[in-house]
Amino acid sequence: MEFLRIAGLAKRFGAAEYALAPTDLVFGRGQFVAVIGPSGAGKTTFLRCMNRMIEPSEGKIFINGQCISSMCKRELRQRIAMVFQQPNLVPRLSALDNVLIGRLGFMVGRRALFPCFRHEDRMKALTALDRVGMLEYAVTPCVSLSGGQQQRVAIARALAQEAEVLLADEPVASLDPENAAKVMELLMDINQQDGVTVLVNLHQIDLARKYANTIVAFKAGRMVFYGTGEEFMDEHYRRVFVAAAS
Amino acid sequence: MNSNLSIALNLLPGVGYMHRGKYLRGALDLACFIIVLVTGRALLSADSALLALLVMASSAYRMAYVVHMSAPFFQQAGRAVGGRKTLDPLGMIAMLKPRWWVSVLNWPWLYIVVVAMVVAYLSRETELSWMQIVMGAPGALDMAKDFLSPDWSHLPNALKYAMQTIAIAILGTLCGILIAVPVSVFCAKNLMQATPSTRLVYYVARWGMAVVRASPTFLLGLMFVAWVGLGPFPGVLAITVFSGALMTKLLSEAIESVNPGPIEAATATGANLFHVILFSVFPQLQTVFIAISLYCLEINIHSATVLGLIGAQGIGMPIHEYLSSLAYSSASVYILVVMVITVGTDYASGFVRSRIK
Repeated sequence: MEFLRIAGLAKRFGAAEYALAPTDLVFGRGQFVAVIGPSGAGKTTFLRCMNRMIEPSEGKIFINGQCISSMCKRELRQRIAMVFQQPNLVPRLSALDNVLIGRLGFMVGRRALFPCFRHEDRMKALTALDRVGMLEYAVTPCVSLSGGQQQRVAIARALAQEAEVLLADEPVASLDPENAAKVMELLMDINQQDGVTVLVNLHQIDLARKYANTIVAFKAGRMVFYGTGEEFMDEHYRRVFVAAAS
Repeated sequence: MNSNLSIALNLLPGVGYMHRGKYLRGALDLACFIIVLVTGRALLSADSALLALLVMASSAYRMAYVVHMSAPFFQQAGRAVGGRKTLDPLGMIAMLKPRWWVSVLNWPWLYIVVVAMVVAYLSRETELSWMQIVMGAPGALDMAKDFLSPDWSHLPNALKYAMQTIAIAILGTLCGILIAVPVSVFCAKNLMQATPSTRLVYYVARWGMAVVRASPTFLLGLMFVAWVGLGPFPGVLAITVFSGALMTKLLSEAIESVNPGPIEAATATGANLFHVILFSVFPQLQTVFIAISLYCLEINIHSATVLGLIGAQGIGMPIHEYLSSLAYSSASVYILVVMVITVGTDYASGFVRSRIK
């Protein structure tokens, strides 16, 4: 079942070479996709084109048959949540207030001018915090949480959006293996329980093999592999990572 | 001919340095030499050739000493320990044979003359007169005596005026904050880069605030006195405008240096710019905001006092009146109160600022 269709998506910054060469991809609803590749391969550009944090220079992306460039950004970003390498939390605010930021996209009409969160927003935020196991830290200022805890709060913020797609841009790159596993488990849980389509940028191939059911590999702005984790062999690994180093 | 010219050029201060690739030092020396020539001509109202020659001689001597003397000196100092090209401290001391006039010749005469000439020139421009300092001393002593015997019957009045000054300052600061908080957002580059229209707003706001900041509080005060008449009100207006502009600059710089991560994260949730600022930028600025407000309040209490001199009441007004009627013992009470207020606010805001960080 086709859910996300990427047709000829490409990005170049200025007149430079393609940061992302024209790419065609189709993902189904509820797929767990790992986007792998060495740094500078265009993974982040690819991911950020999805929610128009970067405007693509060519090509189109359809979400459920609807072209994203025809949607307004708020509408689009309500449906596509994002998690970053850094937790990107406001340090002074409590975990709950940070998760509530995920509900900002739903503040429309009169509430947009005099912003305040409703009871249901708070309940959704608390539910999301509970889901990531951070409910007991709801009123703790984020500055006093550990790195792994902060990343979980960031995931709760994305969860509070109740999005259909979750983009994660190297969510475990600055975490220790134990916390990285926790975060990946969480993403997989969200994928399986809620049927959210998850796209994760990774550079650890073992994590990608373990959690993702689809692997897309980029190298120097070009997609060089598309397939399941079992299909991703050592020769592919060499082609993506080792040859880039030599 | 050519060699003669190069020798003459070498006598110019700084050229030696330039030959050795130290262009900055050479330019500094040349600039100093030109200053000596110009000020010497203005001061001595005669040809300053002698002075120039003196400076040039000193400079050339120093250069020659540095370039020519150092090399053989180092060689000889080295030879003192068996022909090796290493430096031996004992040999260096033996070679030096200190003479007092050698060290005097080695003083940086160029710079000494420059500083002396600049001081002499500026003191002539500002009509500095040592005679007046001596002749006027008795009058100053009388005044000091009056100041040291304050007329304490003025104290209640002084406190009343002080309250007024503080009221002007606090109200002005609060209104300034009301202006600065929204405008500083428009002056923050990182929030205003999104579209050409916001960029236009950024430049307009930035230039407008720069113009306001460039006009002194005094001028603003005079303008508002002409506008709304005498009294504390024009003082409040002047302080509002000035501290608004100052806080805008400080706050917008604080906004520009906030962590961009949370802004990006909030943008990615579909929030509009207004919500991003409200929920992601401002929460990062609490401590900075308090520090900036206190700092502005400090400055404003100071300028509220000064504004009294131009008719915007407060404690500056009686000070001005008593001073101009030579009633120093009355004025001293008011001045003492001003000092207490200034030191007090300085200390209090310093205390608060150290606590919030």
